[in-house]
Amino acid sequence: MLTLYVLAGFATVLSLLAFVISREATRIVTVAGLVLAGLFCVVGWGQTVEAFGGLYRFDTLARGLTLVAILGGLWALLLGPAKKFEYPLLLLFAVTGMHIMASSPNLVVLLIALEVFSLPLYVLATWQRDEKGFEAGLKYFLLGALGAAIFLYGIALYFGATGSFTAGSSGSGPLYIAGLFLIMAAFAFKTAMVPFQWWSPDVYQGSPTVVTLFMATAVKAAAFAAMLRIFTPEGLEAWGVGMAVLIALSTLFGNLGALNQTEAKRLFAYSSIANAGYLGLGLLGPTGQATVPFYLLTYGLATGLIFAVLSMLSNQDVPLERLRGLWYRKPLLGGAMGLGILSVLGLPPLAGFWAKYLVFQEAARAGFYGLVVLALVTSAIGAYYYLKTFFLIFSKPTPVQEAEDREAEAALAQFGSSEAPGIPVAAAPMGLTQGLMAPAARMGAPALGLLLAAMGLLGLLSVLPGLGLRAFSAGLTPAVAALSITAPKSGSTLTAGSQALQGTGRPGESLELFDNGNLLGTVTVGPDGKWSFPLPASAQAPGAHTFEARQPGQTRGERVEVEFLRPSGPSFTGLQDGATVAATGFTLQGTAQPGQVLEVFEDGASLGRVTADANGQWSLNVPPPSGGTRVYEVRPEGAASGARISLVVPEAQAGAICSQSFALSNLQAGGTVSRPFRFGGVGSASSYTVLVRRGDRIIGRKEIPLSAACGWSYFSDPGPGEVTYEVRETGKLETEPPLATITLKVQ
Amino acid sequence: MIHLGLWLPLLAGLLLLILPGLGRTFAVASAVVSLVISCVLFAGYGGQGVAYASQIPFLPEAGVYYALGLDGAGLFLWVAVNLVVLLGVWIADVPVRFLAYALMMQTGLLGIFAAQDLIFFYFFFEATLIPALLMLWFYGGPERLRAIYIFALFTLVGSLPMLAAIFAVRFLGGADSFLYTDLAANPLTGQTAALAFLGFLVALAVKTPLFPLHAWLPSFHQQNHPSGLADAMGTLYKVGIFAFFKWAIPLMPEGFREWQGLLLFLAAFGAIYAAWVAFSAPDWKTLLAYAGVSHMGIGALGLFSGNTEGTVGALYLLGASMIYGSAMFLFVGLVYGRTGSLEINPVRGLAKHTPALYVLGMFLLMAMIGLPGLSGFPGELMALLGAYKVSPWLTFVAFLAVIAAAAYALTAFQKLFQESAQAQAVPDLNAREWGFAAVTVAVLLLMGLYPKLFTVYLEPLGKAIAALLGGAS
Repeated sequence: MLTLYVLAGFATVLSLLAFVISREATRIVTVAGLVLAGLFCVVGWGQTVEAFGGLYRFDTLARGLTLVAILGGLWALLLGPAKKFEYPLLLLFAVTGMHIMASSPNLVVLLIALEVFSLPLYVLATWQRDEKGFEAGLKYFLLGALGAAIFLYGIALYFGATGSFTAGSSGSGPLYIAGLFLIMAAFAFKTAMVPFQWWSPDVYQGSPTVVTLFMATAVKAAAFAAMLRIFTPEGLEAWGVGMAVLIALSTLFGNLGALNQTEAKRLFAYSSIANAGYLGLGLLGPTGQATVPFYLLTYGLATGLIFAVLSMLSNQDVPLERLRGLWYRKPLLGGAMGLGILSVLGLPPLAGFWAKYLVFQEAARAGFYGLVVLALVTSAIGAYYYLKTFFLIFSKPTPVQEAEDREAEAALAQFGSSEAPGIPVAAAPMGLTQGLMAPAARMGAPALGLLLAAMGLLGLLSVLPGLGLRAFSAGLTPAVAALSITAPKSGSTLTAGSQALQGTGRPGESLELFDNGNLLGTVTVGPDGKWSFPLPASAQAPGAHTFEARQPGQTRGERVEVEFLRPSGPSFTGLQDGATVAATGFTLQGTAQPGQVLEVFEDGASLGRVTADANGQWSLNVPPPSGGTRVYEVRPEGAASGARISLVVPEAQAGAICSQSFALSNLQAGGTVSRPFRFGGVGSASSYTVLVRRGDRIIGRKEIPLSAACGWSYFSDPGPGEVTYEVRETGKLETEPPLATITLKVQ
Repeated sequence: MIHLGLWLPLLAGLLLLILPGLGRTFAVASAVVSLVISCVLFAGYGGQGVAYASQIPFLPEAGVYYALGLDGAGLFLWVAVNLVVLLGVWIADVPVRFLAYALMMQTGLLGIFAAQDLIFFYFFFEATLIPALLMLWFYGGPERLRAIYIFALFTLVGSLPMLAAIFAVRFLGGADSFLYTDLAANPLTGQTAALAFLGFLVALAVKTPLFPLHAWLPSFHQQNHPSGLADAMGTLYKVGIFAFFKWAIPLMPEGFREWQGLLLFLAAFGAIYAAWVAFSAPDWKTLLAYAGVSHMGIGALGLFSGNTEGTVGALYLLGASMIYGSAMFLFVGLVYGRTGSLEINPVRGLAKHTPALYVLGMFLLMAMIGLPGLSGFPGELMALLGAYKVSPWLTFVAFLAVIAAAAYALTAFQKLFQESAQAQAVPDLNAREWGFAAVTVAVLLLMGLYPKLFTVYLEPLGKAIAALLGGAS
């Protein structure tokens, strides 16, 4: 908020005050205003301030990009002409407009901001009163006006489609898409993206170099701030294609066009077109709000260095040959420009590399792999002209350039930079060689400081890019985790067992999960944005499964395709290891080879044999066990070991009323069993008696009281052979038919 | 320790660049400390896995970690690089700033072998280029501009497909970061793997160097400073085999299998082709450049055979050739210092005046052509053994290159030293050069007679590659 007041207030007051105070004072006050506004951007970093009913929104994005615009303004002011008081004023108004543009989500305000910063720029472009200057100004004005008109038309359609002027409103339909495309075209004008770039080489070349610097850095920052608000990843489907086309054309045209340029400002105009394309990549991805400002900052610093050096060499055209041997003639300028060029080129140790890497990653995340490859290829093309310029700077100079240096010094003195608050040559802060002194003295200490600070910051961002990126990510609402399935990975092959579906989503949202189109169940996303759903046995049947997570009401969601292997051995499903089960008996289930005969053990005692069905499923009812941790094991018939699972059986509460009728849980069919073994079930009598026979011979009787869990259980360890068990309520005669008869072949 | 070992040369180099008054002594001291550090790390290595691992989030939002660590191959190459840099700054007759660039390049090279994060690997891989270009730029021959263009074009353009492939490896493979462990757990499969491997292949073939992307090498060596230091550093920069072994093959085994046939063919024919060109080389640097291509062809053949012997042989040959190749360039620098010429023909019969130089040259040459008992032999033998299991015919072709090496190297050597003495009297080795000669010959003998010192650490890595590729060991 204070930033806005400072910028607008200083601009307004100064436009009256400038008539009475000296030009020098106007300059100093303007610098003070810009610095103050910048400070208020930094204070409270990460916080969002809203005002005017949401028309003004000062968040991290606005703070960061206002800083880039202020940086551009400072460059232009400290290096620019000082003879007229209008110059600092116009810059201040332009920065004010850019700040508003960076800080408003409302399209109408954006239009006003666009006009506020464009009008001073039209004037600044014509600053040199010659044919080229007029051509540049007129071209910029006519195309800028056209761009504004297109923007307005786009806003109208946008409002028609969404009923709102707020950037980032959701909508659909041809009207919405047309509106977005028109708005995109208007911004493409401002950022010089192909095919809306025709003005830019001429205007860049025709304008004073410092103004070109301002256009290349600050205007881009403001325009991309607005684009970040309008072209949100949520609406990617509507505008993604158009942006992809702009990016592809810009990177190609910008880099190819720069190849055979012989004039430095024109060359970097084409480079600026290409960089607008790379910046566009950042819009596509989910975290563009942090990476695009990071790119703009590094680009603003590096391009700022390049144009600052060019402006110190000449305020006219700078043929590339003029740069030959700059390193030997003026080491500071040569070094600064070399650093800037390598950073814009994106050579790995430098900040420009990290910035490029981050925006490329955004595009890759959004799935635009073709664009990433194209951007890499065009970067390689770009390396040619950047390196050509770089090597020119580091070649030995010829007498021609030295003569040109002297001419240019004289011309620059005419232009007015010499009126900058100069410092005596001897008092220059660096004590460097004489080649350095000429520009240093003319620039004045503040400009020299800015140059060194920019180099330092660029170096810092090269070593610690994370610092910058984290700063720009501060205060961002954490990217809403889109719906996804994180495990199992699509295309993976799994063995059935305790598998679970896991993924991310919006916290609190409930999702529907499908297996091959059949509803499996719903799951609620946890507060950490993650969800997990244990797969039932049916969903782990061998074969291909397509799992899908859908938001309720949607017909499509995220899918993973996995393949379940036929397990080599039997396994348990449904129950996790260590789970708590009912004391009143439960069912064990699992998978195995279809038709395989399995034996289930509880702490080494057999519970009987089961046969896996045609789908490889098996299940077995466990009679109520006694409390504690029990280890269950399923083995293939005759095998010595198999899959194990340990389960916790709670102690049953005494005194329960048992009303279930008598039932036998396991070994109903009899058959073969290993010893020892256990059978049992539930019932309501207070006790049951088991009669044990071998053939006709009675070999034992045992009374079993009903447990607290209403279960009865008989544990036996007889010798091999056929044994018959008859279960009766205690007290019944042995001549009565038993409740259950179990004939077992004991092994 | 590993961080100090990595960054110390860069700091020393920068300091030397700012204060050239520190002189060669400072550079040598830095190189000695580096070598000692790498030897201590080597001695403390347990023999298994990645040691000295450390991992600091750098750009965690983007999955980039400053992760370092050294496995057996990394340690072996660290020792080799540090040894060569020490020999280079010790012997080469160059300005002090030149030494500074060499030290800065040392950090980049060590980083390539220590990086455990793919982006950091790429970073070191590219950043090493800058000091290499600066050395060529400031101290190169009259045609250096052309050499720079070719070198920069091959390496920069070559590495961009790799960057694209790096993105593909992570985002299409589904890894959460660029950490080696993370990427290796999510290898690419199918067609994507083949394409991504091609991306790596282009960049790494330039740096192996693998026919036909070796074309930058001859002009690079011809135009570099005659002292041989830049050439020695350039020899160290031939890290392609390591990068194939460490990154490309483990991350895209399916992609590798797709290209394996072509790669074996290129390696074998590259070896014989380069040997053929070396026959007609007009000067020593061209000869050594092509000899290097030829040897790396044999190494690559071993690596691409994908079995234990081949991999161990390739890595051992890589380390050995870094040492004898670089020492050979430095040796040629000594010859240049005495005769002022690198051409093979005009300078003759040096042996009469410089018997010690002659003996040094003989040792280096014999190591280069793979005489048993010297450092070139074990690696070459194992690489060819490994290749024989996969493709006997290509092995035969590569074997011809080994024979050819003896022919071209001995012919040139004979001209230089033994034909009728036309050269004027030149001084023999001085004390400093004796030191260089003694250390070099000792290392050549050590590596030739007791390869087990290093191969015990390389063998598990070779087995891992063989297991990964599912081949017989």
